[in-house]
Amino acid sequence: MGSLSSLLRWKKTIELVDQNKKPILDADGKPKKVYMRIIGDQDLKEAYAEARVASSNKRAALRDPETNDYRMEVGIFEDASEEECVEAIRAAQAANWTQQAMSNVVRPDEVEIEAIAADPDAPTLEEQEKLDIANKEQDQKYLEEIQAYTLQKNKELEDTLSDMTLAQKRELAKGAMTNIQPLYMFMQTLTIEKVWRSCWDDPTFKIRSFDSAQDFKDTVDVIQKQLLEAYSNLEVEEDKVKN
Amino acid sequence: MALAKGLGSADDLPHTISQAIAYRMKIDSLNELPEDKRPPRDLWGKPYKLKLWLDDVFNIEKDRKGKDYTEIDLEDVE
Repeated sequence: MGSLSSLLRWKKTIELVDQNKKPILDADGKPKKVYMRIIGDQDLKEAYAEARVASSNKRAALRDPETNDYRMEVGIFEDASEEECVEAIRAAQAANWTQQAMSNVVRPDEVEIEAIAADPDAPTLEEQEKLDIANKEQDQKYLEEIQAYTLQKNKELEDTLSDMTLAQKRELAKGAMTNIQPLYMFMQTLTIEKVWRSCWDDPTFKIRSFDSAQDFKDTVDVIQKQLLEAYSNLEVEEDKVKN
Repeated sequence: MALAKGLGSADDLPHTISQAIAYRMKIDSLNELPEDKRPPRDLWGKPYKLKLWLDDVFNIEKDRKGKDYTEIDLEDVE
C-alpha cells in the first residue's frame, strides 16, 4: 500500500559522488548537488509520447529482416536452443499476466461496518477491530487470487509448449521478441525521459540540469545511475496511488 | 499563488499527487450516486468496464433505442 507520506514526498537533493564514492565538486569547490523533483503532468505526457515513439521505432526495426535489430534480437532465434526459446516466450507472456489478472480478477468491495456492528452508528471498539481484520483478510485473498491467476496462466503456457516442436517454438520466440523488446525500449525510454526532466541545478527548480534525454545519456554512467536510482525511490508507483 | 517552494502553479504539481487527487475526486463523484447505481470498487480503476456498468445501470443503450425515429408519434409533429 502507498502511504500518504510517500505520496507527499516529491523532492530531494542529491550530492553527486564519483566511482570512489568521493563527492564531485563544482567550479567553486563545493559538492555538486542536483535538486530533483517528481515531474508534473505535462512533462509526464511528453515523456510517454517520447517513449511510444521509441517503442514504435523499435517494433518497426524488429519486423524488418534487413535491420541489425532484427538480425541481433529476432534472427538469432533461428538457431536457438529449446531453453532459450522457452525463456523468451515465457518472458513475453508473463509481461501481460499481471495486468490481465488485475482486469479479470474481481476485487470485492470493502466490508462495511453494517455487516459487523449491531448498531453501525455506534460501533464498539471490538467491532471496529473486527472490521479491520475482515478487510485485511479480504485484501490478502484478493492478492492470492491474482497470484493464482498468473500461476494458472503459467501452467497453461507450459502445457501448450510441451506439445510444440522446436521449429514452432523458434517461430513463437521470434514473435515474442518483437513484442517484448519494444516494451523494454518503452520502459527504458520512459525512465530516462522522466529522470532528465526531474533534475534541476537550483533549489527553486528554475534551471534544468539537462537539455534533453540525449544530454542525460551523454553524462558519465556513475552520475546516470545515481539519478536513476534516486528518481525511482522518489516516485510512487501509479498502482500504489490507487490502493 | 505558489503551492509550495519550488511549485509555482498547479502545472508543476507532481503527477503522482495530481493523479491521487483526480482519482479521489472520481471516487467521491461515484459515491454521490444512489446506492443501487453506485459501481463496485472493482470497477473504479477500469474505465471501460466502468462505462459499460454505468451505461447498464442508467439504461443508456435502452434510452438510445427508445429514441428511434420510427417511434415518433405523428400527432407530435406539426
